[in-house]
Amino acid sequence: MNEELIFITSNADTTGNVIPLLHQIRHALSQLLAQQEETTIDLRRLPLSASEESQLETFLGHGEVKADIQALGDTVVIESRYTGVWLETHYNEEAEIMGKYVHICDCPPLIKSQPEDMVLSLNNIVSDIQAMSDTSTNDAAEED
Amino acid sequence: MSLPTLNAQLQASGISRRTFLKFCATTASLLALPQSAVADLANALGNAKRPSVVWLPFQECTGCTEAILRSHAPTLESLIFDHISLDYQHTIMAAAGEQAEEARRAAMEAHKGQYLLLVDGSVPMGNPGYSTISGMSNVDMLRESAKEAAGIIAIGTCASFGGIPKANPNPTGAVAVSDIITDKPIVNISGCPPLPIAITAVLVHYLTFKRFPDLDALQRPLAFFGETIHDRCYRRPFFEQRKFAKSFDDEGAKKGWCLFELGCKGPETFNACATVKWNQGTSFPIESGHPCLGCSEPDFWDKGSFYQALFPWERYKSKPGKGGQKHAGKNA
Repeated sequence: MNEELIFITSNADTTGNVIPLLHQIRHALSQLLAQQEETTIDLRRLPLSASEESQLETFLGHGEVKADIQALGDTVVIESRYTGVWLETHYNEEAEIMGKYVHICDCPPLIKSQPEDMVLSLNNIVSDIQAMSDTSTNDAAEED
Repeated sequence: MSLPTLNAQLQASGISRRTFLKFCATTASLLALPQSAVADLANALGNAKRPSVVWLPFQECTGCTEAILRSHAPTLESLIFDHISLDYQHTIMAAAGEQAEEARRAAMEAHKGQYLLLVDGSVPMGNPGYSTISGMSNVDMLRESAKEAAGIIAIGTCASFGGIPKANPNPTGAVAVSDIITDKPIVNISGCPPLPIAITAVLVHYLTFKRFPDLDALQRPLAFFGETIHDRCYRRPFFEQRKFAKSFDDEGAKKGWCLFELGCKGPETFNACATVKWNQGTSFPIESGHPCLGCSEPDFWDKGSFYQALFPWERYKSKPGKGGQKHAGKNA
């Protein structure tokens, strides 16, 4: 990075990065179809002005799926109107944006149930069923 | 002594894998790692042993400790910090005196060559009696604790560069950690106080890759200290347009113009306050209407008035060392 570069980018209302970014998304989608190769683009690492970010979001639009995840602050995952292109936004507990990503994949990793959580889940459901059975048995015994 | 993995710790605390993945994605972004590395990062970090940490507070005001520990709600940065094995920190630990020192020595013995040493505060060299812990001078404690440490993280400007205790006339002969310890990897996370997320991110990087991240010439992580406050300041357009507040209550100040002529040190201060912000992302000093004091730079206290412009605006472009060139990167 040099001083001249900083002056050029900071003076510009637009960085000119939206169209190249959209081409990157298009290319990633074709790679996903051809080779099942998933791509994630970290928007925080790209120079985009606020208006360009908004322009990108408007272009992508909303598709059929929207998921809200509560994990140390909200995470919102939206499938864009282009199937296979997802926009994922991470918020902290104060609703500040911590990260924003474009996933090109069939399902973003955070939406999937995680194997580690499922192991705990199995233990929990076993103990909950046991507790329910115990309660039913006790209730029946009391009725008798 | 065997320590549990981070995965086991997180599970025991009811933190879901999904939450952990979110943390890893955010941290990877902060560390400028590719998002394709998130799954590997999560696996390596999750399987890392809970690290033993010995934290030495020397000549300090406890501001660094407050910044890190005073979160009112569980935060992403606290996710890791709550799960390290903090075996010694005499400001916050229940034990005191010899009992506390025994805990420090026991942790160092049990995790020889593996524990991380965190230090906040500068070290007085003028007279060992200026600052002691349980009768031991700070310099002796630092040397003893650093001897078998895997690496050292100097937290805050005092530990990194001497800070306010070192300010003229430096009555205690204060020095930085790196002035004393020269044979260990040291990361300086400067700031008065430093950004808590920078400390967490360095810990994550160390646990995942078994080494500290890339550093600048002042041994600060480039991911957080690679750009100046000025580079990412939301008031930067006003600087380019030469629209400056001339006093704290003039029209320019009310309109949110650039604080350069009120002494803002943003153009010479490398830190991530403008992007990471403070108080759960609420704001940073410039957003509250005060110029940057340059607190993450060496000798910031002795660089003249906080309220005088650094140099005439016209000289900015010809002044060397802007935009990350001042402290060229190196790897620890």
